[in-house]
Amino acid sequence: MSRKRILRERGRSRGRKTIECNPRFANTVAVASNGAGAGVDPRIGTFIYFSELLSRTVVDAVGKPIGKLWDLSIRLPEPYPSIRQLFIRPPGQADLLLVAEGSQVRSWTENPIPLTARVPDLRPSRRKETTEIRLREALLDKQVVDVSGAKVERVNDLHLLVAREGHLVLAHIDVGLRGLTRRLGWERGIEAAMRLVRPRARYLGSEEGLIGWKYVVPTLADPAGLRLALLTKSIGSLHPADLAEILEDLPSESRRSVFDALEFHTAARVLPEVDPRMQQDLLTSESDPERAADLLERMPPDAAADVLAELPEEEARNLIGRMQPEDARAVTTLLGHEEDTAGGLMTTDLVTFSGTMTVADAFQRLREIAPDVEFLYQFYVVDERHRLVGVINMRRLFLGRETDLLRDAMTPWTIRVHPTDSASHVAAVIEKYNQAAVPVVDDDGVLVGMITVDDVLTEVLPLAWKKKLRL
Amino acid sequence: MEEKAPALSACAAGARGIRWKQVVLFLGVIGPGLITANVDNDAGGITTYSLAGAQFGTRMLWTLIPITIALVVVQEMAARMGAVTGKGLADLIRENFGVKLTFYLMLALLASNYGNTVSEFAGVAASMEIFGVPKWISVPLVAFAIWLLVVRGTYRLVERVFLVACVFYFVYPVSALLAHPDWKAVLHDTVIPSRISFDSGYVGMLVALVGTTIAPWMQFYLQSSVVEKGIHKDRYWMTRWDVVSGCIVTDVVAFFIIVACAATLYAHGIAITSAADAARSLEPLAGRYAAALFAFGLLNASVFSAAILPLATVYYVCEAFGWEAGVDKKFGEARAFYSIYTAMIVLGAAVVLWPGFPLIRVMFLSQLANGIALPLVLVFMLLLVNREELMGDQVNGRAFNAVAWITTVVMIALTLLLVANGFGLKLGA
Repeated sequence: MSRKRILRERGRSRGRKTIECNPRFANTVAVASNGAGAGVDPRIGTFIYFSELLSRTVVDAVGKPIGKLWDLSIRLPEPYPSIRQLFIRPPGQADLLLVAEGSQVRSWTENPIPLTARVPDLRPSRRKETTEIRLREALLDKQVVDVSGAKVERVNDLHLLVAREGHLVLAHIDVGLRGLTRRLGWERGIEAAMRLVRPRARYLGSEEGLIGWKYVVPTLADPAGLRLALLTKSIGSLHPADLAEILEDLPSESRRSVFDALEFHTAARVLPEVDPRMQQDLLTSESDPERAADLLERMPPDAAADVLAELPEEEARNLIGRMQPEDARAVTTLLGHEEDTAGGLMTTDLVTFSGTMTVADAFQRLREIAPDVEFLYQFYVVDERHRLVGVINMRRLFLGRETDLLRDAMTPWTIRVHPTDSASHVAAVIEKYNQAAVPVVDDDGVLVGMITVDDVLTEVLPLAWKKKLRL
Repeated sequence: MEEKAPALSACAAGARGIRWKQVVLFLGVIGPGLITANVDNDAGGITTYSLAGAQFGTRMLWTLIPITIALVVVQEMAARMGAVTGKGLADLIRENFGVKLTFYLMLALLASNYGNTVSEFAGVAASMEIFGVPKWISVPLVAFAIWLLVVRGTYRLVERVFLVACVFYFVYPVSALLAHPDWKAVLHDTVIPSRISFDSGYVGMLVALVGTTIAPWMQFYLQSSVVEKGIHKDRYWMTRWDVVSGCIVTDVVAFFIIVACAATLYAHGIAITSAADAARSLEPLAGRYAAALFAFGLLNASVFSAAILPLATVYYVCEAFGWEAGVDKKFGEARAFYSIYTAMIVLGAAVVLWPGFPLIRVMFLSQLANGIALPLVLVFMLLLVNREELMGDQVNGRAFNAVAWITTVVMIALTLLLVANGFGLKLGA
């Protein structure tokens, strides 16, 4: 008996807020009446689970049994790929697999599965082709990335569509509880029990746990070219924070190959979001050290310095050597400071103006440098020896007249920290004066860096709580 | 000027602590092995060691060396698999042996770890009662504190608390020193097996010692934490030392517990039935401090293990079935994770407070589950670690394999003996 499932694609409710809109809403594979038997919509065909096919015997054109169905293969990349080959295990021969073409199957819905070919036409299985994915070997029970939900899932079953042309198409992966109970052989029992107890449970919905194949990225290590094609299409569209979380959930080998395959600008945005321990692993395992150095240049200097500080000396030196001289200098300055001091926390990525510039000049300059600057709110006015004389923020610039001199528009600066100040002192200053950033000034009054509030957030939050609790 | 940047950078990097680099790196990698090893000396472990010392004096000490070797062999494989594949053991079993086997194995592990959790709470109750705190207060309080730490705490905090708990195991060596044992006899019996007998009491104790030291959940926990730490193949040698030193620490602690009980309880012919008994009986013999330290050690071990065991269990159950897991996730994101974790702690603590609950019977059933799971886990591990497509050139060497298989076979035989022994003794009683 084949199972007939009518499938509606629907976004599952999720605990976590995803920033991207869920692509599942935009895609409806098929909506049809819940038909049994003859009621099945011929435009859609019949759905069948991979786990059910796996137990079936395959028979040849004259009905002689060949063996049990062992595996099916598809070829990538196709949004809804059809089954190319069947792998059949003849009884009593543990290391022999016979291959039949998908086109040689007379009917997918019958049990046993009848072929149009005879045994002598079948050849034994040979080396895998690079674009081939075997469903059982590479997908069943394995982890995949669900691009629509931005997380890593484990495949409990595969949902196949017997299309009206007679070929079998991989439509969904099943990551739901129902897939699990089906594999355990309890599906009917549990279904009956659930109908009694909670007839409207989500578990009973026919789409429970199904994810469209086009939102799935297998994480197996396969040739990079193939992966790249898949990744740039689907994974690259995720928010960097989501992508970072996915990377953290993957086994280390897959994590590296997925990261390696990301487009450069995506990789650069994802890297700072990843757990620092893994940042280090991802950078050192980059196949191309130039790319690793470029990634570091793209990161804010303080984040880059943090990653470098964790690396072994040899590798850190190597990477810094490959960076652009100015980025390298910024990073090395930061590396010279203790981690929990203002010097270690600060970034050198800041905007300075001279007091003799006008507001219009300042805007002109901001337009030029803005693409490379992370924090675009507070700017510093310095003298010819780079000593801090004042501060001016974006709001003030907007409100100022174009001809105003910055010297007059700025606030003469008194709030500042020293490179050796502790992180908690910096946090206290930021919290007390309600600043988004604070300049770091050395003994000679020279502006050496800036600390933004997010860099001391972990220090600021306890302060805020203490205040709230009046401790 | 520009070209100077690289050289300059190296100096600056040096200022930030190249000298400390190796140390920091090692401390960064260390942890999984040490924590696993110390959880191993949980309430059940301490009870077994105390009983071994009280009943057989120093006669059982020789077993510690082979046990340590077996422990190192098994744990090293788990850690290596974690570092090379980047996947947890539950993960690998699911991917290579299918969903059915995985499911029933997880069920057995859940049962055995639940039993262990119950014994940890019993340990909390017993040790706090020595300090005069009734179990009605101590057990719910500890259960709640543990639950809160994991559910509301962050990963970093949890790991730090755990590492601090590890430090408190030093109370056992101090206890042993206060008991003034005959060191010559102790050393002799540690190195040279003597007065081995084959009566059921001796064999039963031998089996219990091995069983309490090598448990299936440890391999899962260790491998997952190696993965979680992101330890790479290249830095695996440091983890190997972490594992080896952890195993040695485990058995050194066991050694001192046995010595402390042998020098006092055995020497004076005092019979005990639990670790709390041991602590109480130590007072007239070794002084108030030795007894208090012993009891404190039991408390620390029980609390520590009561926190880690349910956590480890829920981690690998979720891993096997692909459910969201992690102490950094919110309840809504990881429902299964938090539900199983909470249930294990609440039910574990409740059973201890339930008057007239057949505690011994439950513990025996969990031991049975353990006995079923352990052979499976060990055989799975050996099959997995020898798969070239998983491990590459990191598969077991021939000599290592021989030792590992012998360990596995002996472990299986002893575990079956333990279960059979339990059937004979505990169900009959």
